[in-house]
Order: sequence, then structure tokens, then C-alpha cells
Amino acid sequence: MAGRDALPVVKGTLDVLVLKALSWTPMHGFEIVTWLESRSGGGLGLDDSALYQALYRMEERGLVAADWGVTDNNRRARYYRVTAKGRRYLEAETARWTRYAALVTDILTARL
Amino acid sequence: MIRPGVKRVFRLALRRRDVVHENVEDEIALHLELRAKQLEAQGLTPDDALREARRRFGDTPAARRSLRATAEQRERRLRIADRIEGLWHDLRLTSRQLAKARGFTAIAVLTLALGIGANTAIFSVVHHLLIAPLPYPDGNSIVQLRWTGSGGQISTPPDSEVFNAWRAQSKTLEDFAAVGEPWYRLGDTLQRADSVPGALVTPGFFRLLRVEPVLGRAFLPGDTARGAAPVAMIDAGLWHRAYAGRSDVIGRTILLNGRPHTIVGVAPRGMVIPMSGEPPREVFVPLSLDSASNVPAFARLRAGVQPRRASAELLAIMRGLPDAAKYKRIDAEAVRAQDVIGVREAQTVKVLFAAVGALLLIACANVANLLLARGWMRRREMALRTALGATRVRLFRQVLAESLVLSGAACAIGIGIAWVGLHVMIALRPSALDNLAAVRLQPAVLLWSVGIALLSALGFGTAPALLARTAAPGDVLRSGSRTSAGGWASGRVRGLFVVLEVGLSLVMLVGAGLLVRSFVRLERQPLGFDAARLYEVAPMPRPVGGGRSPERRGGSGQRAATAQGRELLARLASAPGVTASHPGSLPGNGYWGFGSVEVDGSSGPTPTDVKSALVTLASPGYFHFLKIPLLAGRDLDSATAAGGGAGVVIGEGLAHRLWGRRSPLGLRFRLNAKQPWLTVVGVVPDVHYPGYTAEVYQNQAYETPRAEDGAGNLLVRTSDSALVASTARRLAAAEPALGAPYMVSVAEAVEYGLAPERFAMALIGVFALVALVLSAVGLYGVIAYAVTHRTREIGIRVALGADPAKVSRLVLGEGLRLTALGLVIGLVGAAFSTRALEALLFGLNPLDPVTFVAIAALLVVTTLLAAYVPARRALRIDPIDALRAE
Repeated sequence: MAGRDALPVVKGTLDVLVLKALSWTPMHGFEIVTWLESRSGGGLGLDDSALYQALYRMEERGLVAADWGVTDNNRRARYYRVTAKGRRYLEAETARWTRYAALVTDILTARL
Repeated sequence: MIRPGVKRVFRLALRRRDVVHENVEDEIALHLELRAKQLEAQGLTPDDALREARRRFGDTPAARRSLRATAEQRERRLRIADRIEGLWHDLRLTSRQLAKARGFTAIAVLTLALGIGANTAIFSVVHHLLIAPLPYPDGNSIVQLRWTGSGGQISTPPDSEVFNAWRAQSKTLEDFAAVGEPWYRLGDTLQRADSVPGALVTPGFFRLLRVEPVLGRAFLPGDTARGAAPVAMIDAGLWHRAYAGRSDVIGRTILLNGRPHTIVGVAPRGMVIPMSGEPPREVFVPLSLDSASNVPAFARLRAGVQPRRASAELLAIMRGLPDAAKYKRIDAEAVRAQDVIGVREAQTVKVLFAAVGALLLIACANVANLLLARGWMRRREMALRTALGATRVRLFRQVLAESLVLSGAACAIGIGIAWVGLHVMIALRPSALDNLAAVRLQPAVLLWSVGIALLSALGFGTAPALLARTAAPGDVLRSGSRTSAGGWASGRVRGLFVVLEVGLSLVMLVGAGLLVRSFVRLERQPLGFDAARLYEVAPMPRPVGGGRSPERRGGSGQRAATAQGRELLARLASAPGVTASHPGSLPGNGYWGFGSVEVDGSSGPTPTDVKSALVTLASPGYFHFLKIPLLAGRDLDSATAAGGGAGVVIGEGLAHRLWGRRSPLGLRFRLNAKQPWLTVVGVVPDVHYPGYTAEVYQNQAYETPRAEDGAGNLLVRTSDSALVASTARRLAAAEPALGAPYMVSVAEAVEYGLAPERFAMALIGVFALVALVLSAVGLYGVIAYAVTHRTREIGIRVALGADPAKVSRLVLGEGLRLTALGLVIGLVGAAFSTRALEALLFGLNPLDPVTFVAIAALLVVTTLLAAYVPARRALRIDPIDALRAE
């Protein structure tokens, strides 16, 4: 939901968030969206279609793989999972993000 | 749905765009539906929920288009990645399977590698000799300009009058230059008073080669002007060796043959004179165009001009000269490097090329047989996989991968074999093919070998595999037993390959046999004179350098050289180590004339069919010295009167060709219309140099030197040639007008003549041996395989009391039948193809029956041996085992 309390997605972090979501279990598109919304306590600040763009591109890069499966309600759905390459990418990006965040926090909270 | 840990094996190929689009739409539809459901649960009406779901999705036509485009791109990429992964998968699977079948793999790879290696090595030589351009920019347009006579049998450089006329008038050629290749004694900073290879070049030489000096300048026309200070260039090698590569070398003085020259430039290393076969030159001295007479001449073809057109123009210019009559009997031609190679050498190379081609075919036939057998043994596996749903394409891909792995390995080993083979060939090269030393494995050549490896893999790998699996999978699986008799179709194909192999081997062996027999004949042929420890020594006038005018060249310098040369020979005759000596040249080491020989007939000069004759300078007592008997007439006179009427002794062959059965004594002939008459005073038997087959060598004559012939030569018998050579060099060094003397032995001359045959014979002999081994292996493989597959039948026969001899005859008979068919085909093929060897055969019919019969017998024996082992194995089969094996 692109509402008031939406978490604006910093450019490039959507990929990492999706990979994080998929690192628990393979999911289809809407499962990923609801997972992200429940963690962020609101919307992602972007259209749902952007998620599919991100998924298709990551699939092309080999970070995720997709297969057709069947949902609990017997609906045909495309399930995405993280590949080994995607897992390595997620680890590297997580480490980078943590370092960056710590650095920014240090600067902003430093006593003058 | 596929959960973690489940590995996808095959990706469904989404070939069609609409399928991709449909999938994207499905995904969006599901998303919207689930979102709407979620919103409904939060209390929205179905309509509002759907609208809100759409809004959150950002559902616009543009967004959907964009998603579809991204999905399409993804599919394209993934398909490529899948193919690569599939190929990798196939290659890994194949490599594992081949590693298990170690014997099969080793034989197949080695067989192919031999064929590929031999082909690559020979192709390197062919490429170097017949295809590769000169090592200069656009080297293929450099041509040598020469006079030819006697239908192209002999050729010489043109004189300066014709050369300069060509230079001035030609429209098809440019950048004319002439080059002599004397050696120079160095002085100056070099301690060793050594000689270095030098070149006497007209100023346009560097432009002809498109070579820029690395330092200083090239020669200018002014460098050869009368009275100009003598200048020289050196090559980069000498520059680094003698001057440590210092740039102040320009302007320094270098002593060449004792005369100071100013260094004006440094040429790059490796300056070989086109088509000379001599080592790269290290010093260069300018030569004026006027004195470039009878010096090898070169030019460049203008863009788009073929040598043939240039030759025609050169001839036309020469015929149009004011004194064209002088050149009436001379032809002219412009030839490229690859046309200069001798006919016999070119023939040798072509024969070798054909031989390795046959060798590769034999190797391929062997591998095809192996693959066929393997395909047959794996037909159950294939049938099972077909039944399980593997597509034909998939199976074909795997067979293809197997062929690729085999040929890839064979290619790698083959290149190694080629490298070794090439170095062996270079080591064995005859002096007539001396420039083989520069042959390297080149990219073009490697491409060739990779190409033939792939072709052989595709042609001989996949075809049998396809043949082997034409049977319906159900039949194969039902027929069950692993060892039931092989399919008739595949058996016939394998038989065909064996027939082909035997046929090709026969052709090759017959060719090799003919060459060996011819060579033995050549070597056994007597020379016709006593050549024991015989050498010819010739004093050489010092090479002239530095833009000298023709008058001075022919003047006092030459007279001095003649006098000093005579002095040298006189001293050498009594030098230590010389056991006997006599004035004259080696028989056959003489001069010849252009144009056909004329006889003095009843109605004046009459041209004859004899195109050229070879005149050797001799002296009274010469024939006695060489133990050549006089057949008729008398010995030579001690001096020939100047201007004609000279008395000559001629060989039997020439006498017969000029006058038939008439006694030639007292009759006159001349080499051509320009030459003086020679009166025959005696007849001697012909001398024979093995390998010297050109017509000119068959027409022999001997005369006493005339005044203008200079110092003449000396025949020396010695058992210590090194001592005599060093004495001659020492004597020459003391004479200011002389250069290093020339010394040649009969053995060297004979070796030179025989070398191309020796070379071709050695190589073809090796190829023939390899072909024989490969054919034997192929025959053995097929027969042994057939026996294995008839184990059950043979077992039953033996169990039912069949005579073991009969069973072995059965097995041997199969091999012999194939061999007989191969022999028939091979004999016919050999009869046609040995004609190509005619130029290399000496006094031997290309259809020599002895060779044909002997080789056929050899192949029959080989077959019997190849069939014997499987036959024995067949007899040892225990009937019980044979029946239980099912």
C-alpha cells in the first residue's frame, strides 16, 4: 500500500528483500508480497507489478529459479526459489547493507 | 509444486511468444484474485476489492506490456543457458562413459590422432611451400623476373639491358629491384675475420619488400653514382652483435672485404632474399641498375595483375627491343615464390599430401568401425532410453558429444604428433627443400587439423551411430540376448569400411613399394667415373661492391683474379693431403646454352631436337684421371684455339641424339646460333648422377677451357678434405683479388640429387607402415568382433561336433573375403594413382608387377594374421559357457 505509513523502498533493495523472503521457502508472487507487507507493517511504497519485474530480472540473472506448481487451493502458480548464486548474492548484499547502515548510524548519532 | 531440494532436470522449452505471454497473464490474474480475496476479507465489496487490487498492482496496459517484454527476454536468455548446460551435461556424461571404455577410447583416439597428426605436419609443409606468401607485406605480389630457355627447363636472370627495358616500359609491374647474394669479409670492430651473408641490391630493393630501415635510411639512387662514397647498410642482428645496438652506428665506417663503407642505415633482422633459399642477409651494399646484369631480378605485380599477364608483357617488351634478335631464343617469365619450387619437389609434396589423406581416411574407417561396434553393443541402452522417452534429437546429441570428445582428444594429441613429426621432417629435409627449416605450425594449419578432426568425427561418428539404432526399440528389447548375431545392415557397413581400408592401404603400400624399388635402382646405378674421394675446387673472384661500373668489373680486376686463381690451383695441386689432382670440373658441373643445339648439316646450320647440352670444362688426361674410357676418337687438345673450331669430346647419348648411328668424329655442332662451332674429336660413355633427370644432364660434352673462362677448376683426390679446404682458404686469403674458394664433393652432388627421393621415400615408407598397422588393427577388430557375436553359434556348432578346422576356416574365410574384395578395389585404385608417381620413379614402370604382387601378398598375410587370433579364440570357446552366457 502506497499510503502514509509505507516504507519507501531504497533503489536496489527490493531484490535483496525478495531474496530474503524466498530464503525461507519457495513462494509465488502474492506470497512474497504479503510476506514483505507483514514484515514492513504496511506497504512497500511501490506497485505490485514492480515485484514481478524484479523477479523476472533476477530469474534472468540466475539469482532465482521458477517452476509452475499448484497452490493449496489447486490454482496453477509460478513458484520462485533462490538459487545457490542468489544465496551468495543475498549474503554479500546483506553484509554490505549492515556495514553501510552501521556507518551511517555512527555518523548520525555521534556526539558533537 | 517443486519444493527445495528438488532439482529440475529439463526445462520446458517455451518456444512460442504467446505461451510466454499467457503465463505472464496467468500470474497477474492469480495475483489480482488473491489480493481481491484478501481485501474482501478486510470488508470491501467484491467490486471495490478488485478495483483496489488493480490499483495496487499498478495495472495499466503499459505495465503489462513491460512485464511481458521482460519475461520474453528472460526466456531467450534462459534457453541459451540451458543449451550450454545441456551440452556440458552431454560432454560430462560422454567423458565418463568413454573413461569406462578405456580400450575403445585409447584405440579410437590414437588412431585418429595419428591421421590428424600426419595430416597437420604435411599440411604445414604444403602450406609453407605452395601456399604461404613471402614474409613481407603483401608478399604474394612479389615476383622474380627471369629468362627461360629449353621449354622452361633452365632459367637465368636477365641482363641489364633487358632488365632496364622492363623497368622502363612495364605497366603490369612496379618496384623493380635486382639482388646479388655475395658473402663479405668483415673488418672494423669485429675481431673475427669472418664472412657474413651480404646482398648487393639496387636502390629500390627495400621499397620492393616494403621494408623500412629500423635506423637511418635505405639506399638512394645517388649512392650508386660514379664517384659516390661507398655506403652500406647492416641488419639489426649485426647491429646488436657488433655495435651493441648503439644509434651512433650511422656514419661509422665498416670494412667489407677490406674496403671502407659508411653505414647509412640498419635493416630489420631476417632479411631473406625472395626465392633464394639462402640465409637472411646481414650487410647490404648498393648496386647500380646499369651493372645489374645477370643478377636475380624482382618486381611487384600491380594490383589485380596475374603473373601470366606480366610474363606476356615482359616477353613483348623484350621482343620489341632494337636488338631483339639477340634474345630470339629466350623466353621471359614473372614467377611467384610458390611457382619457383622445382617440379619434382612439388610432385613430392603432392604425393605426400595424397598419402596422408589416405592415411586419415584409413584412420577414420577404423574409428567408424569401432563406433559401429560400440553402437551395436549399446543398442539396448539406446532402445531403453528411447522407450523411456528420450527423443531422437537427444540421443543424437549424445552420440555427437561422444564424437566431439573423441575427436577433441585426438586433435590435441594429433597436434603433438604433428609437432614432433614436423621436427623430424625438418631434420631429414633434403637440401633442395632447405627452406623447410622455416616451417612452423601456423594458425591456418591448426585450423585445418581441427577442421578435419571435426569432419571425421561428424562423418564417421554419427553416421554409424544412426545406422546402428534404426531398429525399433521394442524389437531390440524383446530380442534380449546381448550376443545375438549382429544386424545384417550394420555388419555390411562394417565390412564396407574394412574393404575400404584394405583398398587404401594397398594403394599406399604399392606407392611406397614403387618408391623404394626406384630408389634402390637409383643408388645402385654406377656413376660412370671414379668418384672416390673426389672434390672440385674453384677459386672465386672477390665479390664486387659499391656501385662499380661494368668496365671496371670486367677489366683489370678479373685479369688479376684469373692470374691469382691459377696460382692458387697450382699451389693446391702439390699441397699436403692431395693424393692426385687434375685440371677440370666434375663431370656435369658445366655450362649450357639457351636455344636448341644446331648441327653443321650439308646445307648449313640445322636446328635439332636437342634443346640443350651441358659442357664441362676438362683438359687432356681428364678421362684417364676419372677412369672414363674413350669409346672412339682421341683425347682433348691441350688448348682450344680462340674463336671456334674447338675440339670437344661428347657423351654417347648426345652423339646418338644428334647424329643417330653415324660416327660423330669430325662433325660439328654448336649450343645455339650465338655459340661457336665445336668439332667432335672423341666419344665417351655418359656419366650418370642419380636424381639429375632434366634433359640437359643427358646431353654431355667436354671441352678445354678457352681464354675467357678464367682460372678454371681443379679436381682433387684427397682423404683429408678439411685439410685441403683450409689450405685453399689460406691460399685464397693471401691473394687480394680472390674471395673464399668453392669446394664440392661428388658425394655432395649425388646427395643433392637424391635427397628429394630419399625424403619422399622415408616419409611415404613411414606412412605406409602406419597404414598397414591401422588396416591390420581394423581387420582384427572387425573379425574379432564378429567372432564374439557368434560365440553362441560357434558354441552350438562345436557342441554338435563340428570339426574345429571347419570352424576356424569359417572365421578366417570371413576375413579373407573382405580382404579379397579390398585387394581388387585397391589394385584398380593403385593402377590409376601410381601414375602420379611417374615423375619420381627412375626407370620403373608405375605398374611394376613385382611391386603389385608383393604388396598384395603382404596384405593377404597380414589379414591371415589378423584373423588368426580371433579364430583361435573361437575354437577355445567352451560350448557350455557359450550357451550359458545368455
